[in-house]
Amino acid sequence: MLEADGTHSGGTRKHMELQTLDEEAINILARALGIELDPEHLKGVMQNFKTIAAFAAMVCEFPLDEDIESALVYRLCSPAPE
Amino acid sequence: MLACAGVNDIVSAVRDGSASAVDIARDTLESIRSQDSFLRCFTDVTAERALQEAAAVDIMRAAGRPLGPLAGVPYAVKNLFDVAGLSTLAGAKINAERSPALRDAMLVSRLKAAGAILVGTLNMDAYAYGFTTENTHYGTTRNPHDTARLAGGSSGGSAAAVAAGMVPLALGSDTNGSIRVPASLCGVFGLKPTFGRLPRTGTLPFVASLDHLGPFARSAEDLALCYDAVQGFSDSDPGCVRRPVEYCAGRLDAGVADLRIKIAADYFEANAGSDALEAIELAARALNVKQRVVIPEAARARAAAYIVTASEGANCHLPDLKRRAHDFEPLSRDRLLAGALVPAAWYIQAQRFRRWYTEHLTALFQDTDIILAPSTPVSAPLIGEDSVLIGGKRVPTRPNLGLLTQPISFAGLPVAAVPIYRPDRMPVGVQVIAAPWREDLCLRVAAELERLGVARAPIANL
Repeated sequence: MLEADGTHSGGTRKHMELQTLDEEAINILARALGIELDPEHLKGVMQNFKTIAAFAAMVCEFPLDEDIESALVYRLCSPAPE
Repeated sequence: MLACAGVNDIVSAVRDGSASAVDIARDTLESIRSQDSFLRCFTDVTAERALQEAAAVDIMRAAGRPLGPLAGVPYAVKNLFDVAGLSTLAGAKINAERSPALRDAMLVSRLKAAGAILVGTLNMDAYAYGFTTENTHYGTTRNPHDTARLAGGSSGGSAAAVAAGMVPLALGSDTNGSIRVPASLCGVFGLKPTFGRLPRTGTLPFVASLDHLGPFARSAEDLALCYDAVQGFSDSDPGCVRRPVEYCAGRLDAGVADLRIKIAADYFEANAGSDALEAIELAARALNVKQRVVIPEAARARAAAYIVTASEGANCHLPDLKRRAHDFEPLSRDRLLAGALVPAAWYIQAQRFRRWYTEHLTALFQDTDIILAPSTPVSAPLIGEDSVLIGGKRVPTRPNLGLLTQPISFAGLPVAAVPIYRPDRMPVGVQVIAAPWREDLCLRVAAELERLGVARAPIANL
């Protein structure tokens, strides 16, 4: 479950990224996407990104065979509405 | 008053002429007027349209023409459904600037064709990103069973409007639990069909990989009748799967003697509070179910759902996040901004894990027909209560209300959210989960729990 500090208690370890992630890194990531973060949003964005990173650690440490493909759905469809 | 009645009573009265659809619509609009300024379920009331649709039903009856299966039944929709002439708000202040929708969402069109009467659009968490329907711009929807408490979300307006008796039916959407969570907290029935069952055409997307649409009602039968009326493939939604319509309403009385029903163990018990555990115990005892089953990697499934949600949810709004982040809902703005920064490797790994998880979860149904799990870890928290007690630990309310729903919708399985009735206590729901495409079984078990007196959705005493 999500703890009060925004981390996830189900994870077995924290990624290195969580320890080295700082405001500068978040700003660089945001600028790469063309987002200029308002300083008053930065703390909240940082906390939320750390939460996502903790969840990502749980997902990425799970071994998947290379033949496990993405579960995305993509199907050609006609343009006309019903 | 018929406006508070169930679907079959309304349809029968309209068919036999003992009530007119217009009178029922007027009563419904009056009920909304008298209750909603406090409950904050509705963001728009479509009074003129409702009276026109109702008049059309009455004219058809007078002319002896066949009436639809939901003739004269009032309903409302979460405000991420397009309704011709209204801006599709999706709970967001930004969207109020949008041009009005030119046509109805596909499911709204289908309900209209079935004779149902649209009376309005309903409040939700901004962009469906939340489990509480605390909306800074449009207000917090109150729980009709205790107005100091949350209705849940993100389809909180839908669940609360049904619980308050303002409408017998409502439509909502569920990406991570947004039908099942408010159904649990407001004590009504909800159905999240199999991913790909219902076309989402004409609804504002949140997370295309996970978005589902579905109905709310105060009985299993009403739920099935509404679901039957909106079924049907459409290739206008690339996520919709070509399946035949499989009607459920006429198959609710088959009982459960032939069904292998089990209780979700491990993660679903460890993350359930005392109310949720009691609800499962009541349902299991009534159905004489003792066997347990472990859903593999449920915590990891929730983690992966969180990543997919953050990434796709942010991508939908990237242009506005760049230009006008200040105009976003403060309760979800920072989450959306963080989601925009998710590396592709995390997202792809989450989608690949989803493949693994779905295959392993669906395999459980080789020797199981139904899995029972709590819908929410707790009954409705107080509005403004920032933390709740789960498993002996105090954790933040908002992200943890969907703790038990996310691992199920991540696999796209069909779920009936069933309200467990405990006299003088706040309601709490149970998820009745089946194999893909077996909504019929979910609804059968929901109907059986209702027949046994364990599940009930009484109109709240306001």
